[in-house]
Amino acid sequence: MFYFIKILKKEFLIYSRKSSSFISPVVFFLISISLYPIGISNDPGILKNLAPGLIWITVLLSTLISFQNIFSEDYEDGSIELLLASGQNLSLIVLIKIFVNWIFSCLPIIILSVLSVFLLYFPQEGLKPLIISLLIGTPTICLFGALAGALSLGKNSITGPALMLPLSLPVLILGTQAINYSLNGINFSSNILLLTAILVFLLPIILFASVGALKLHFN
Amino acid sequence: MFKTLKNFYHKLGSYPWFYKISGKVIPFVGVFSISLIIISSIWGLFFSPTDAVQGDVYRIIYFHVPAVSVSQVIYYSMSVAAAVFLIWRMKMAGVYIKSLAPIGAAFTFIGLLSGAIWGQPTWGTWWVWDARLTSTLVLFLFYLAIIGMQSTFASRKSADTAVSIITLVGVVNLPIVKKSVDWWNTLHQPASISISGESSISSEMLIPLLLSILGAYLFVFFTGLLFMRAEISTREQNKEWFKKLSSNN
Amino acid sequence: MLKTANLSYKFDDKYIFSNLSFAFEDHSIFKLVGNNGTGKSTLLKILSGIYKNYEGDLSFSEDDFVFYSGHKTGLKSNLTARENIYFDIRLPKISDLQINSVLEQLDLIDYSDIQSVYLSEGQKRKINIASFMLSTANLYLLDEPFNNLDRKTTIFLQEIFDKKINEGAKIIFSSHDRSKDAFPIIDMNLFN
Repeated sequence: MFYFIKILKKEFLIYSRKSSSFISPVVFFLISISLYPIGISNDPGILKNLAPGLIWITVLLSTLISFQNIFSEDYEDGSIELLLASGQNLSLIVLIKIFVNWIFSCLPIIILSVLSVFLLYFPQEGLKPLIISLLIGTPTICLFGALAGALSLGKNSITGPALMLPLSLPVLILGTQAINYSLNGINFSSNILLLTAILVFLLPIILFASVGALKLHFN
Repeated sequence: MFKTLKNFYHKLGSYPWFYKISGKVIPFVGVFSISLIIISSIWGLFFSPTDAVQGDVYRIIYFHVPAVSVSQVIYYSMSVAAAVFLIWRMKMAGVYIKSLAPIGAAFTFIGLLSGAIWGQPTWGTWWVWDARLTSTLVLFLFYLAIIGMQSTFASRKSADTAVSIITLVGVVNLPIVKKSVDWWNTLHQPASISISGESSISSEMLIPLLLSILGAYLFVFFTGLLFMRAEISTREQNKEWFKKLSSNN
Repeated sequence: MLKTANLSYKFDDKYIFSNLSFAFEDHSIFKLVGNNGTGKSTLLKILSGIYKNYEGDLSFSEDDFVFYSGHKTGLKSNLTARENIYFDIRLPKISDLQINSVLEQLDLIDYSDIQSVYLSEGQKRKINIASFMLSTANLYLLDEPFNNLDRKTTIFLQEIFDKKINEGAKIIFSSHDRSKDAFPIIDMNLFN
């Protein structure tokens, strides 16, 4: 137990020192959100309709920039070797890493998505489903990011994004749909339940696969 | 019966046996598949009747349908090979996936392209975000991921394992994507044009279509054998049996 | 007691080394030497449990705790020397006092609060030596520990080796350097 708390603290410290880990997704999000009105239209009616999808896609793309963070540095500096040599439960370590990565790269954007009320004329009553769907959907996307990152370690290939995008599609659809449902007065709880089910179902599977993928680099 | 099957499985896993047999089979399959494709194309393009509704545009079916059907079947066969590789560690399965992935990607691309070319004059649009097209696009992405993955690992065995994992992830993911796009379409009011059901097709059109499909499968068999032989010869170039074989020729 | 019997390792279809049989008693030290590519680092990674795809047998005593230090230091570039030691996953809970003491012995105390990205290669090695000193393991697998060290630290590290061995530890380390010291040798060239 001491071992895992130590890793959790260490990860937090590393991420908080590396300001780019949370500033770059935030900046990316803010730039995109303010570009949409300029690039598409400043008509509140149009933006209002597009906002759920725009926010979700922007969150998805910003995780696409940060998913390499989860393992690549550990791979370069040799930390992963030490983790493997420790003989401890690797799944739990990977879970901690994904969790901390989510805290630093996803949580700030989720909080900032409230700004879309002003910038994209997003209706206030849609905020609740927006935040809830992001809170439940983004961990799944971070899981996919971990798998893609573990598979494409050490090489900058098309593999990561080509793998992440199709995997994330259902989450994207369910997330935006939940918001649209609630804006049209339809009950959106089934979507949230489905998102939760996907997360719970995939968590052990993707975790297991990521650990397997990591080990493949040390054969 | 079971014993012969088991025997065959073991033979299939052996590089020298496969290399020898495939060398004999390739010329026949090659000639047969290419002539089938030529015959069915000429038949389909010039001799089968014009469609009452679509006119001559429909003739692209003789390329589109074989390509799409082959692209999916290749993927399913690759996922079977992936399972075989992960469970029984059969090296040949790794060779199979690596060799077939580019072929599958090429056919998926032909399928998407011919579908778009067909869709434009017929339905007035190059692309529709319906479940079938979206999942074919995702299939293409998975093929790309599999091809891209080959260079990420230093060890051949690791690369084969990783590629097998992705292939299986893809085969689970594809129906989920299909289903979720269906959900999505119910919200965005179903597309006004539905690209499903080729209605009934007359036998004069059907025979060249079946021939073209058969031709495509044989062509995959032909190119698959070629690619697998090439892959085996790079993997085994330092092995005794291979050196002996190449010095004999 | 650490024993290997007919240990072989192949990368794809090529054997890096084969039929390595050894027994490592407590209180013993071995130096791995051999040409480049003879599998010195690979052997250490197998013994430490990083590589699992070996052939042959490998057995440990139940009370063997492994400390592995690889070619890559495992240091986090944005943590200070002190934090890197404190959060070293190979170590048990250690106090600031202990860290100060080893840093002082290694002449690193002035650098203890500098992020390791600003340290030299030799200083990074020294941080790893600090971890090595603080470790309570009894089987040490060290990949090129003498690389990038100045003369003074080299001698110091040899003293630490002696101390650890006297306490009952086993040490296996790799080196390019065949000469000088009196360590028993395992020559990897013999197992190609």
